[in-house]
Amino acid sequence: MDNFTINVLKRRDAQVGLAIILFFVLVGTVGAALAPYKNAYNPSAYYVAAPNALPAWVKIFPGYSKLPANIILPATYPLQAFKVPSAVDYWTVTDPGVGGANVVSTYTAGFGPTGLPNPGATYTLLNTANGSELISIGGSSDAPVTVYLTHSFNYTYEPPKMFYAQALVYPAQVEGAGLAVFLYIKSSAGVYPVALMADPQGEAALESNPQLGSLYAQYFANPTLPPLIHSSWNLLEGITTASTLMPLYYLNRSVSVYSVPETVFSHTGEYTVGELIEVFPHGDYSVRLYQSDIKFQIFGSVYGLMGTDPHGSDVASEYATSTGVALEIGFGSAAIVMVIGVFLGLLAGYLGGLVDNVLLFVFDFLLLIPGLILLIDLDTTFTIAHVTPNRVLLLIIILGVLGWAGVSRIVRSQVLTVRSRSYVQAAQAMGGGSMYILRRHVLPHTAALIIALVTYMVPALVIADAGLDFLSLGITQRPTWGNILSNLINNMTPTNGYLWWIFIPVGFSIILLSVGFYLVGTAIQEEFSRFT
Amino acid sequence: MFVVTVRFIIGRLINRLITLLMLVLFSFLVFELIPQSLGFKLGFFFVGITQLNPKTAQAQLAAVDAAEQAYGLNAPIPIRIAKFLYNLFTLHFGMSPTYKEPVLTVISQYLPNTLVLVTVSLVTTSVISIVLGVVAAKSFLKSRWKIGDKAASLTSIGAYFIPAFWLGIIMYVVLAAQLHWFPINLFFALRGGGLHNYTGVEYYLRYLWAASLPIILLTIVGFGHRQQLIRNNIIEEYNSAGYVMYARARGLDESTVFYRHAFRNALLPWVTQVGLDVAFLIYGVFFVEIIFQFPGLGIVTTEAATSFDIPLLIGSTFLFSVYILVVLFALDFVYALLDPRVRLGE
Amino acid sequence: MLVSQTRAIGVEGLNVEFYTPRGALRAVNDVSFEVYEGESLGIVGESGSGKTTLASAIIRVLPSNARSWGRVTVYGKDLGSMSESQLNREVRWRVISYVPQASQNALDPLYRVGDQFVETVRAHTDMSEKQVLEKASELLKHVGVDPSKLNSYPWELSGGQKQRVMIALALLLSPKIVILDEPTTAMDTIIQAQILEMFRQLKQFERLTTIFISHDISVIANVADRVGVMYAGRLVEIGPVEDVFGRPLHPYTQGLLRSVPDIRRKDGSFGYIPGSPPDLVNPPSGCPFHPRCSYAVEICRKLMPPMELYAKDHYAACHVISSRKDLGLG
Repeated sequence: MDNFTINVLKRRDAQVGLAIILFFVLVGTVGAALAPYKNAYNPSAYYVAAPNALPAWVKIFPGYSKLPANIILPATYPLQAFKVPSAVDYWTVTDPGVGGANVVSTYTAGFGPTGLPNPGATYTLLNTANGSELISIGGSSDAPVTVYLTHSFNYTYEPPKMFYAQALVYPAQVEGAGLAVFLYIKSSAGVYPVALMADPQGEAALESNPQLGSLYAQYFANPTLPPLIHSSWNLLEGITTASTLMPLYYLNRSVSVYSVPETVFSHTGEYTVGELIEVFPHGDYSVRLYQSDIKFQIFGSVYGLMGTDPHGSDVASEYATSTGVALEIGFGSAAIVMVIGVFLGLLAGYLGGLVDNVLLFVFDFLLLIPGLILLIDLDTTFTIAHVTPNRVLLLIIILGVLGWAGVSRIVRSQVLTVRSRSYVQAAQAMGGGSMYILRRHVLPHTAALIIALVTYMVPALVIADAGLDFLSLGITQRPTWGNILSNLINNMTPTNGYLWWIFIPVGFSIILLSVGFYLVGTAIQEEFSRFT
Repeated sequence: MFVVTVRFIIGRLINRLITLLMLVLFSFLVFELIPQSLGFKLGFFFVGITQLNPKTAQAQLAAVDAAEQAYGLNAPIPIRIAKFLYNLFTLHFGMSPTYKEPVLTVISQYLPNTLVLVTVSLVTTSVISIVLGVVAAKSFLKSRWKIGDKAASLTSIGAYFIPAFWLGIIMYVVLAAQLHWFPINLFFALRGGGLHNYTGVEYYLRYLWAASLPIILLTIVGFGHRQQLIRNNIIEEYNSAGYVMYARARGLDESTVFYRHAFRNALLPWVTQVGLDVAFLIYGVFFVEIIFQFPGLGIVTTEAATSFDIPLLIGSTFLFSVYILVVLFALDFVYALLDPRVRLGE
Repeated sequence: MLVSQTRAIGVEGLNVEFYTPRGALRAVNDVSFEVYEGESLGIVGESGSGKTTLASAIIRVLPSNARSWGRVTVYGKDLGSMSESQLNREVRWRVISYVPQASQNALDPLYRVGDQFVETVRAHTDMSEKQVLEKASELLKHVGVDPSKLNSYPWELSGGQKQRVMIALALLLSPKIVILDEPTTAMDTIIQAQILEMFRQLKQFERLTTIFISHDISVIANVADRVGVMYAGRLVEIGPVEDVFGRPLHPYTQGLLRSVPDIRRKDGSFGYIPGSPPDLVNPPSGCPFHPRCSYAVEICRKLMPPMELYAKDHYAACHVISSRKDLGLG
């Protein structure tokens, strides 16, 4: 490291600037690599928590300490998807022994709901490998037989905004009986069925229940509800955003569609979630039922480091990946700007004459005409012509190709200054070739200035891209700073606190990035002017 | 001397016209040569199709070929360039496939709004940058703690770093949507949500009311650079220019030294920067129009780009360029008035 | 001699410091001298020795990053105690005028030469524009510039013309004192002689007091009664011009005189002072000249020598003068 670099690094402003840049580089590389959702705008990344969830750390403030955290039961994928035998132990199987029913529960490693289509929403869990629990129920009875799979937990928060329950069931054998499967949540206030599926016999049996029959009839009359199919995997799910499909809503008309979560989780204390298997036998019966992918999720109103957006996507992931994109574009197009700008600047300054005049005109042209319009024009043409499917690369190229004029102008004037100095004239007199003089005498004296310039350029290019994204002309369908901000316009309201946990970090990042590069650039420039 | 001035003006005019010509050629390159060299049929632009529908592909392709024939898109390039130039300079921009109307009609509806925003904010940024620049420079040169300078400079550097589309969202959501100090869009201001039809003075006042938030935003993000420029220039002139020192030595009073010598010389680079800032304001107007739902050429251009309405895009590019070059030409006059060296051709 | 005993300018312990990113730069360091009415003082020194800063400090037109202290009196009035407007009213241009270097672009390029004459006079008197231009034309003829140049812009004039225009401008209000900073550098020798002759006459008939600042020793020898030598912001020697140039005491003065090319010298050689002028942000300890001085002894590195009288009116600041036999001091 030469003296000049050390002098720059010794300056307090350069240190602050570099620390800021380093922070963003870390967020954009390490953070983006660690981000759980590589593209949080993909619908499969929606609903990791409730929409517009606050960052988890707000709970340290008294007013927010009771906000529900994200609760997922079971918490881990192997347990949810029955990838491990212990998944069976997670669920307590309760057998009431009505009619001498013989209930056997076993873990089945070699059978599971493989190859199901992905429904697209993240909260829905669909297995990709074998693993399930087999419940066999047999005996002889005329009264309904009920088997529970339950798990208890403690709920200590305010009611959540949203919850979700699902299970995959595979009725392998149903002989001499009808079958209905419920998902339910139970508290000291009562039992709340949140999902229900029944085969035709089970449906008939439920509808003939003297107390609830007409309500069940209404529920099953809902055309969007498929019946439970034997010898196939059936997805059983209930979600509060579609609570009109919930049996709870039909069975208990006092529950408003909009207040289902408030009703179910009205108080703190012990809660039980589970699956209820109802067999309606007539005499000897034998039922063999596989289940897998059982999951209950209470969507947190607080989530992660930075909360969630209106789709319930992880903002921290969005932020990290979008910072990565911003830096890719900033550094990538700055590199192009530097190469073109320095080359043409040196050419104009060194050759002079007609070449200089023509290039100077081009520099002025690019500086005076609003780059955004040229940018939009080029972007549109290249998009129509499908030049590259990679939008990031396309934008790097366009920004680089349009942004070099400022660098060229300054390099050119610097070359003219250096050229007039005696040692360059001496080198020329001694017969040094043009390239030799450029490399040996001109470049070393302009290098620092060029670096300072490009340093100033990086945030300008990042903001140019953010602007294009904001106008939905840039990168689409993935989080970038511009896209995040443009998605905010129609979603910010006083009730969600203007989404400050998205708005502030992104806005301040743009400002801070500019300040960071500005500090470093200024430090380089000032040291440079002191140097010469 | 008068002859020299005329020669200067004609020289600048030719220079600006060449720039405009280059811009038109740029449009030709971007919208005709590049797509064509990439194997894209230009006729698509004129019939407004970007993707072929498998069922009606035959008919669509026939329409595309017909359009290519009608617009002479397969003629030799020099002829096409001549035609392209002729069409633009005579304002024949063709039909917009998305609006199903002549481009000129579409643009003439929206252009005035944009011109109001850019022109007014060009004036406001200029005034504020000069006033705050002078305040800061005076404070730096004359006061002991330089508080005026620190405050003014911090404000303008801060404003300069804030991205327009970020600050704009805050202003819109808080001042318009929440507090209702400003209308939520131009239509609402002028028609009261379809309930009123304001006329006369009230119409213009309400127009101004709707335009004020966009103009305030453009002013905030646009004045900082020139404020710093003129502040630094005044300080530099005052401290190191020989003629300022000489003016002080001659016993001229402070305000003569400051305004007549330091300030006026510092104003010259500022005028050049105004030209560069026009480009910046036009950049800002795109965001401002979208955020504040102020229907102008920025919104139209953005929509033209997303819907691949090329005739409209060519038309708006041309008119933006003409506007900029008119402003630059006007600035050439101002510069010449201020600097005899330019006027008389040193 | 024509010199009276009325003290026109008194400078006592004048210091000027500039604040630079590298630290405080002492451009003028503890300078004291006086000039009597009708006298002409020359100040010589290398470029960067603080001559121009000294001139701007006397008329108090330093830039805002400079600070000065010490006492400057003009006809007994302490300039330091005067307000800026009082200075403008009572001192600047009416009593002291100033001719800056031509290379400084002292004439504002945006205004015609005539306008700058008018604005100067208007700041001090209520003469009409016509009267001003008449007087300016007359003065311009005196200095050999065509009065039509009043309609020109400064950048339309040559360097020599600019210098003469500024000399005319300096004489516009018939001041008592004129400070001239390198007044003849851009002129050819014939015009130079005319200008110097003009000042000799002004001194003789108008009792004009002048300070000539120049690096050109021949000009100073021509016009000055007394001469001061500056080095690194300090006055190192001052005295009657024949004494200082004829029997220089300070080693720096001797070096300076040796480095003047002299066509009478047979071998055509000329001396030079080894080394380079000191960095004024971190000046050397003791005598600032000691790193370049062949006579330097231990004390020179430690202590700044005081100004001492060695002959009639002839002062120098050097530790080794009295021990040097070659100077022939009794």
